[in-house]
Amino acid sequence: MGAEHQIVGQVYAAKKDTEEADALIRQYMGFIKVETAKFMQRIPVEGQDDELSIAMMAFHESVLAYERTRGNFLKYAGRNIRNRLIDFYRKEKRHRGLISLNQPVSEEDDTEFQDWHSDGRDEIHERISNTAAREEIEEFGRQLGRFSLSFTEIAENCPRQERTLKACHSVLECAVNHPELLEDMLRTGKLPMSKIEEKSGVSRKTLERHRKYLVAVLLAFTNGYEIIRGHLEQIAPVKGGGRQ
Amino acid sequence: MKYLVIEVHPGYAVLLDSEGRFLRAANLGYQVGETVTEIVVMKEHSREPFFQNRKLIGGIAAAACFCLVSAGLYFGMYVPDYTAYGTLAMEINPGVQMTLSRSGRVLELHAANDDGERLVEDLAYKNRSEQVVADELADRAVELGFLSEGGEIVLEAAAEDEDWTEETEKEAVRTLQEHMEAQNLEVQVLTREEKERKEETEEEIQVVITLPATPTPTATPTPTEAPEQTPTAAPTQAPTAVPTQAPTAAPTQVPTAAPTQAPTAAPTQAPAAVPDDDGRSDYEAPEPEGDSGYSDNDSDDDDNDDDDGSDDDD
Repeated sequence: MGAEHQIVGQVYAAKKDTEEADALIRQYMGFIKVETAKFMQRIPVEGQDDELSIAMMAFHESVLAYERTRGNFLKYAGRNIRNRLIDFYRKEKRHRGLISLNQPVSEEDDTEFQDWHSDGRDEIHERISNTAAREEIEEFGRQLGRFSLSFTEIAENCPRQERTLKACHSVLECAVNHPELLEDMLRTGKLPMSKIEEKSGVSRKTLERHRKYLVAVLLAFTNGYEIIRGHLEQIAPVKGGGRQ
Repeated sequence: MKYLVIEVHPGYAVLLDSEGRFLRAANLGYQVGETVTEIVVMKEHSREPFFQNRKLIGGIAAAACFCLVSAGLYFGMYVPDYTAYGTLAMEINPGVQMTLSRSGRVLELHAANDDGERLVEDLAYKNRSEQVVADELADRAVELGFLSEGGEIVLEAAAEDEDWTEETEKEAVRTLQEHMEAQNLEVQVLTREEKERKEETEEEIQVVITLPATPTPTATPTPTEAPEQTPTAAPTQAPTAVPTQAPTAAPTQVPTAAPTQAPTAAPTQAPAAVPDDDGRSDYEAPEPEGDSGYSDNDSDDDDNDDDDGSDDDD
């Protein structure tokens, strides 16, 4: 039972610390591969089989959701891995079934199959812009680090409801139109909550709740993050207060 | 929707969508800076949902409790805890129903059908807690052969008090699921609603799949639910992939054997949609953990594939 006790300790540590979690996953890669293999009926190949990535995510989700009351951790994780894989296959199956060129690729977007199925011509351009994007993102990450924020935290803090998301965007708009707010933030290292509340009309509660996300979004629009901003052009506020 | 890859970890990647959301999804070999379109979203776990300022909340809670208790006493809300408040129906295939007090004490236990009689016979239930009785009923069901690997239990609570109904149902599902897991038995515990949703999507599928006359090669792949079974059993497994056997009986009788088992409706012959073993199929739906499932249930196509009860588990 000592082994169980030990892993539970590791799991609880991993809940709070992403690096611990990453390390734990690497430590249990063997286990994860075995569980995936049971499902796929063959040994998964790292870097090639999506199933393995999904299983690793399921393992991570298990780490986050695990409580002692759920029994043995590995069994719990094993179940979650299997369920995730089942879900994944169901979705895949649906797409593999009747597919036509004009059919939308997934519910989530409306790219058509023919658009999606690239023919590789733009690969080189892509690689170049990807590298540039990566550098920008890394710089962005560093700047966020100065605010003691990690990307993971921001993702966790991101609003899930449409309504709240829109509210946050109005905060962004407000900040773009009142540059002194951004300056304050850069200078003090914190969001000037009261001023923002006053100028944007968004409730203090919402601001507090999504503080991390707001810092990230505001930062993205302050510096020379061209690529990131380009990616976000849909939500880019028009200067002068008008909405797009 | 386009997603910009922001950060990668073994267990997930952080992505930024074009509407400004930062989210986590499976890391399908992503590189930072890449833009992707197909993602598998990670389930976020909300850690400390409500309690930010603990001390303050603690103080308020204490004061509130005091007020409530006084008010309660005053308004006579503390009815003796032996008064029926609601019911909880438990269905495996034998069905039983418990009458509960507000606090979950079992006051009465009735069988809903003949098999149910066997389940409740001589079971000491009076005044014991719902959890304990439910656990025992489930254990008995296993002993008597009504319930086995890959099986399902549906719980449904009823009372005038809607909140109580919801609470009770959820708690009951949760604790019973844990109990089954602790027994190392792969059994799914659902609420009536979940069960119905599951059945709805199952039906949908049958309609969709029967159309193309292509006699499916799909009999074979099933990489999905049941890694263990050998679809070699035959093209009698109609494209609709009908659930082949009675979940109640040992689903370990895997379809590898000829379609001959299935003591119930030999649905294997059925060329078309005959899900009809009470509409129950015994694959494991997403989350046996009591959560509402990973996948977006509404758009899920649940295949009536063969049993995977013969699964690995120890």
